[in-house]
Amino acid sequence: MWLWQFHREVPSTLTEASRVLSEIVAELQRQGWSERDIFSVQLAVEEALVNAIKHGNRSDQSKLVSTRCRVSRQAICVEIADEGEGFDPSQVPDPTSPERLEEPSGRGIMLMRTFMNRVTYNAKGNVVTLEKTRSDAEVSETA
Amino acid sequence: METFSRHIEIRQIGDCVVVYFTRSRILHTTEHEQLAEKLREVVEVYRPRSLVLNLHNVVFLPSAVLSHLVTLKVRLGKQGRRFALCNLRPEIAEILRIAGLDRWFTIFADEQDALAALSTTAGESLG
Repeated sequence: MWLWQFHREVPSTLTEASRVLSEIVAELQRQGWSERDIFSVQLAVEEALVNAIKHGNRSDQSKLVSTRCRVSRQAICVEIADEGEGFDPSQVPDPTSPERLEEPSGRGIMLMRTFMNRVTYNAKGNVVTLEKTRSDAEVSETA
Repeated sequence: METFSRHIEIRQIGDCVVVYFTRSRILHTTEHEQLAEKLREVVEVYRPRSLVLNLHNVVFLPSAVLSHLVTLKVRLGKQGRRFALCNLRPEIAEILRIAGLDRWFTIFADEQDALAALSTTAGESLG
């Protein structure tokens, strides 16, 4: 059962993205999520929002970024959609390979996958869904 | 210690410049580009032989900022300058490890170690 849900559609600016992210973080804090979990969610959602704005909508402020977020006692699910052409995430090269270490980009998806339990894309590649289970879910359940 | 911008303070020690981040939340979406620009300015103004970023106050390191640090290190290396990080919090060290950059960057436990290693009398092999 979802305790909290929201949907925001904002122009493709980092300022607007920050506001969306702040709302999510504030809700997790309100629900007593651990600092470690909040850090993970914050990092992953920020990466996804920046990708949607910069790579998806190419910072075109006439295009919107949609964020749907649901939080239960045990988990959070965040879906972020842009109006871009999409991409194939399987074609993104491994940024940790020696020949790519000095490349300035390509680490965002890897960080999202590391800090969340599940990261999936739609077929077009312009909607990413981030899911994380609360690390103290069992404790929370019985508390 | 000198306030260089609202993002950073600096301290010049010989031919080494140490950069401190003034706010833990500075590394947030709207300020990535401004931060990168200020770091470039530090290099242009002080032209240090070595640049050390003291990350003690940094609690968040998104990939966009990581990219700027990678670019900065590469640029400094081409100029014959050295670049290092020190005083990393565990979560920042973890991000660097995940990104495979924990051994690519020159990282010191604390500022004293960094300055000792990067002083002009130290070896030339550091990145």
